[in-house]
Amino acid sequence: MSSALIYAEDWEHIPELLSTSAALGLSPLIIFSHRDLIDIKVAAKNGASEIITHRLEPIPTYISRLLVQVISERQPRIILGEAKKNVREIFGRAAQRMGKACVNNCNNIDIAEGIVRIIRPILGGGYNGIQELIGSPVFVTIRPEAFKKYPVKSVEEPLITEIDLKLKRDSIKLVDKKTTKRSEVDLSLAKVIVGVGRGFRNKEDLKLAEELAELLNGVIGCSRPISSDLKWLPEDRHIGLSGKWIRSRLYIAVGISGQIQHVVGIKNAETVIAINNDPDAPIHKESDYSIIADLYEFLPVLIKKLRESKLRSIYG
Amino acid sequence: MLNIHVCVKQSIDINSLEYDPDTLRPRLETLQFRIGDADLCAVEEAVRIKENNGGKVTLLCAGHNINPDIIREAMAIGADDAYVVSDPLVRDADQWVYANVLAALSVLAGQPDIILCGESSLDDSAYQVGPRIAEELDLPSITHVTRLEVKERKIIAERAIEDGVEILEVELPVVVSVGLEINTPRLPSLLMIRAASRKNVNFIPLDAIKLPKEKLSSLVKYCDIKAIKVGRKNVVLSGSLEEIASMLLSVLKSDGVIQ
Repeated sequence: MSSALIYAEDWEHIPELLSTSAALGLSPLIIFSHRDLIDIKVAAKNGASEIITHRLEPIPTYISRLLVQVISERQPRIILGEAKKNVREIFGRAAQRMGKACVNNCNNIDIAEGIVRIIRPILGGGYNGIQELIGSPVFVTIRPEAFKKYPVKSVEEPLITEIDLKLKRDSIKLVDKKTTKRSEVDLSLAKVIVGVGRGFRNKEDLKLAEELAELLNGVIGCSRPISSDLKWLPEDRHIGLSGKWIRSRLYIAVGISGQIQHVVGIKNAETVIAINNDPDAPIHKESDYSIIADLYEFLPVLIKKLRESKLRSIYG
Repeated sequence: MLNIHVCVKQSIDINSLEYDPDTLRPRLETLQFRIGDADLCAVEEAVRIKENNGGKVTLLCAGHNINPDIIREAMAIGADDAYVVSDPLVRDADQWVYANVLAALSVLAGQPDIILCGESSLDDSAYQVGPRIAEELDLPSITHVTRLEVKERKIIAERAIEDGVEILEVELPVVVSVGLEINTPRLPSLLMIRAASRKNVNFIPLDAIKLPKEKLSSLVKYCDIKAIKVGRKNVVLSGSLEEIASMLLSVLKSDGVIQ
């Protein structure tokens, strides 16, 4: 049998990572994770037969060295992780050390006739790249879109192995970390989303979009510059290639130009409405309904009309 | 004096690329190339470090049919020279091959204090060449850096990850990957563009970096590339703002979102 080694930086999606590995026909399932994070019950229930633990600080350069050690001993077919920044760095380093293939942000993974085949977004997210990975093991990070459901057999008691290794260390020091509070909203589950972009001139003006979202029992999302550059909204509100991929019933893009990298995140939204005063903005081509108007003039009119009508959102 | 290397990739310009509506495959005749945005941020950051600390900025590039004018556009930001491998063997390279060639180029170009990379390329979005080069050269890596400061023989880096912001300190040499947040690359003036046209772009034959065959053999192969096409209605609602708002409400109503 070919085993899967799952590297977990947090345990939120351990059940999905385990069921995806099981669906690929991999067994046994082994988790590699920090000692303080492990949840034996979750691991047992979802079919992990072993948990290998470490006590390293969260510095990818160091963790990758330990991962190489674990892989050399356990010889898994696939090293699987969530598509997160630290995980990609750890996998990239370990793959280079071992001379192996690594692919990130996959939306799908399959093994057919012994060959690992993945689909991942390329060319700004406008295209699917279908790729085959040569050799074994291979390193794969997956997006939630790639999670597979599978009836896993629970394990009575996973084996816990602590790895304690004298590690070569560089001078990297984690001096400080400010943890941002997670918002209570998971955009990828929201039914109605109002997306805001650079068309808004000030942070205060987002109130207009918030008001509209509230009336529709929806939530606010944004394009990358709003969260990453301007920091008007937290990172988990970013819709796009490197952010959330929404599958809402309704998406209203307000003041968003519609760069390829944003559009990939809204492809699975059912109805898309664009409000943008630039008739040439690419977002109009990606929309079901376009409104070519200044958001500062149009939103107040729309909000007033919605308030006055007796119409209410079916969600809430 | 700091020796700074910056990896840049001649990437497919995703904005000019079109696809065939029947096969959904990219239309090769619409292929145009440029240096990716994150790579340009890396060049800009290198030039700022040079301006503050003194030093030299060398661009490294690996690929096939590399156009020296595209390299010079990036050099115009303020790089001093460039080392380029342009070889058909690197045409279908995966990140294993890119990292091997770029690491070898870095060795050839001489002892770097800092190697800067964009966090991912414009076309392949693989998110791993920086860490792979670091591993190949046995150096520490820091990815997704949003602010960078060099102090004597150390860097202090601010790094944005999913659950917060980290401050890291590391002694040189180090490999740093940056995203679009770190800076806005300057638009080169005519003078800078003219200066770049006189700078040295060193085309290095692939043989000269003496890589064994297995380090030039890709482990990830493309089977197919298909545009993700979503059928949208593309209806423009027009009229007075009042009229448009009413139309939009009826759309939402018939769509069943409001009732």
